[in-house]
Amino acid sequence: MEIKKILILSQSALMLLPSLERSMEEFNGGFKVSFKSDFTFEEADLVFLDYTYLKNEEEKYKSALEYVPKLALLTALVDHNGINEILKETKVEHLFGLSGANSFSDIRDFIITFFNKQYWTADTFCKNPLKVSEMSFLSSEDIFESIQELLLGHDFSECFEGIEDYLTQVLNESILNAIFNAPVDDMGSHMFKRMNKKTVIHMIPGKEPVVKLLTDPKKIVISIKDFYGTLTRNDIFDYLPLGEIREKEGGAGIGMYLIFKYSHKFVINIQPRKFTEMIFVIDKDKRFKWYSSKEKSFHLFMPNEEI
Amino acid sequence: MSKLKVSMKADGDNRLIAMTGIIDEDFDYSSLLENPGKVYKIDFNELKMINSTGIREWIRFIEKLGPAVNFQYFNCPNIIIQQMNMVSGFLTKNAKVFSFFAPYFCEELDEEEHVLLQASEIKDFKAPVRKKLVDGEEVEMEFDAIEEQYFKFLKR
Repeated sequence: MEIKKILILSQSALMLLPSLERSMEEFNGGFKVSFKSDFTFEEADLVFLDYTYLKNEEEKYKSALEYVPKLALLTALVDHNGINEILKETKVEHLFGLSGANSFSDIRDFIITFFNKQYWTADTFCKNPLKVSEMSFLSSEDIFESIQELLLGHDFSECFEGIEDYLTQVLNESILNAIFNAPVDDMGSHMFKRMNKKTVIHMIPGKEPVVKLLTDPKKIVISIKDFYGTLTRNDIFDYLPLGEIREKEGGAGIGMYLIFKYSHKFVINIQPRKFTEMIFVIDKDKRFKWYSSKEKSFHLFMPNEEI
Repeated sequence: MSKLKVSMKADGDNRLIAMTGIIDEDFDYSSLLENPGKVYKIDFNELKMINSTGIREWIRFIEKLGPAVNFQYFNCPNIIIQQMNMVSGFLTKNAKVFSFFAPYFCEELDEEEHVLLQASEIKDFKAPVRKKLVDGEEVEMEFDAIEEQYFKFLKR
């Protein structure tokens, strides 16, 4: 059986190591893993790096950045601008905000997903939802009303006051992105990207974006999927970390930045020319302070990308 | 159904504007440019959201009136404060927040309350003390955000 080598250069991951090793020994999915702190970057199949730890070792840090596709950074930073700086600087595809209750299961699930070349889905984060609502968007008309319908019947009593306004914003930005920015014609040219967002756009049947909202007692999970798969890695690292209005036409260019700010986990799944799915996970918190001081995670899965 | 209702009253050089609903790509500010004043006092109390294209339209509206015009923002809800803190350029040089809502939490009642604060009450980025009557006794509520983050918009 194939052995996957995992290099651990992170205090936080080291603390979870005994449980991880035990759990991965029980895993029966076609490969085994070996965790070590002395694999070289080159020989490792996956590397967990503590961001602050490496910042103090500049040489090691620079070498690590040559291996971005197999890097997973770990950080306890809660400052949104700080997180964005890391993403802008490293363009790393996996950034774990650690110390949360789900750290262990997240890392374990990630290892399995990463090596199986799969995606994380909304169900990964909400295995037993209390309520699920799903909606396809046939056009750009009445988005606000549709969002209110999606939110209807979900229990937000364990959240801080005004959470619905935040969710409305997250949904609004991501639905507009899916409708205006994703569609391309047969030549691969964007059809609506530069259009004024007031324009009423009708989606091609079978290509309507699908929005799913799942809630359980602890979490709110939102998934928005388009069936074009045109979002690129460059777009993500260009727009996600920057809260500056740069675009004069079409979108303002800060939608992704805003929705990441309001989420605790932000996952992007891309299969080029097939689909893009954005998943936002928000932990339910009655206190605004707790909601706004949680670690953040970012994950970009493009396992079938043609290089 | 209109997502935004805007009312404007003239009082000498002052223009008193109240906004209810959502500011987005449909924000039509043409009527607000007629009969321009020198000071625009804007009440955001009933504003539910400004999306990203709405922020851009808002900045355009302010730019149309020119840098000599003064904007005073009142009763800004939590979500608008978040956006002022996050999006560079949203709070333009000629605009200032005078009052805003901030989250406080009462441990005794396990209840959140959005308290209206005056910007002038914030000294050294510390939230002012707010008390509440619980069973006839005054108890202090806890400011329910990270002060340095929440009051960032006052730094300018």
